[in-house]
Amino acid sequence: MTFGTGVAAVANSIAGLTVAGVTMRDTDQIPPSGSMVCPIFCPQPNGFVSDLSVERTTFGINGTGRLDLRYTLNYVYLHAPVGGSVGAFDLYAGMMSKIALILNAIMNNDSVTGAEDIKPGGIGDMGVVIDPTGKEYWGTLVAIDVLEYVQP
Amino acid sequence: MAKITAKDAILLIGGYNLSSFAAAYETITEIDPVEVTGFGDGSKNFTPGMKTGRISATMMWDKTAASVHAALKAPGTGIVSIMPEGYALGNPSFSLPYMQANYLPQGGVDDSIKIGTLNFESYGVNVGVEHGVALAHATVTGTTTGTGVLIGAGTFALYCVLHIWTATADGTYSIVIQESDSLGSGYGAAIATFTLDGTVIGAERQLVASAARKAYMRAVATKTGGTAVDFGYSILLAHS
Repeated sequence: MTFGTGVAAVANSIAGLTVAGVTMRDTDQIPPSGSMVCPIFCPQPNGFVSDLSVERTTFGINGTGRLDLRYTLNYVYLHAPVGGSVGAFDLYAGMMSKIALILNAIMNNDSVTGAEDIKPGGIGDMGVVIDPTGKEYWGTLVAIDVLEYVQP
Repeated sequence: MAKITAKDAILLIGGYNLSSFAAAYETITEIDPVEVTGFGDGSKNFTPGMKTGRISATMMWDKTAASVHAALKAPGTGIVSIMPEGYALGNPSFSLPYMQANYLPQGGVDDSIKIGTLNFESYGVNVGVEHGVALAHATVTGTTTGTGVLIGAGTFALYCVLHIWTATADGTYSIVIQESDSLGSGYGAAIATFTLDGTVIGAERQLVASAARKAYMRAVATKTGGTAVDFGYSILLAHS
């Protein structure tokens, strides 16, 4: 049994989802900044994997038993730079629409390579988020809960 | 003594090693209390009645050949054995000749497919759950002479259980139990001989009538013919 290959496979599957008008990115495609690449949905570099839990579900030691492996993959959605429109909140409704499309894509593709089940685990900080350079963007954080069956 | 983890338990059902599909087990030995309270007794008075033996196992689903669904979908009779601490020579074991009472495939939207809790009820002329020791649990490719286990000399019946969980694809095996007064030598003729020859997955119980027994017992699996291919088996021994 192995851990890690599942994370990579799930991240790759999420990057392969089709969301109209949004660039979906994998762990090897995280942009150094949000400049010129928005709208973009990519792994959150700081804390990509969190809330890891392992539950033993059958007998067997040293790789011979079965485990339920649960974790959360944390993504960031950058919609558009703050201040990039005439009105301060002109881009807010468009951001909400894109977030809805992203969540629908995840909910309608819950059986992906690398995992038994994925589902939206929550959204946070909806509004102003910052990219790795510290620049402000309209966007949100999206948590995706993942369930893997680790088996011999 | 320290607590011992249950995660290394080995569960054998009708020869099939289903440990990695078993989530929990329970062995039950109960004695019906028969009331014999009479006038003058200071409190209610009971005498032992009939014994009940049962083993329950909570299983995961698996449709692979020679696995859970194939082994258990048609409730029948057989032998179930558990090594609660896993295998080491002489480790404790529980065995029971059983009648399988149920088969319960089930699933929930947010869960894996399960078989539920299966009940294996005592079946045939036996003494209920047999508490014994493990003499062997291994995958071998040829004749294997086990190391003796100290049972203790005395007069008692023997309940000998064999599980074959990986049948040999070439050749046959003769599997016996021998006894001796000493650990390393002096083992005589077989005191129990199994009829299964290793060519199919299965389980067998041999009852050896009560007699004077020597202190040490070991299992011997002797291969005849064929090439060196895998053969997986377990031998458990209990006594009255």
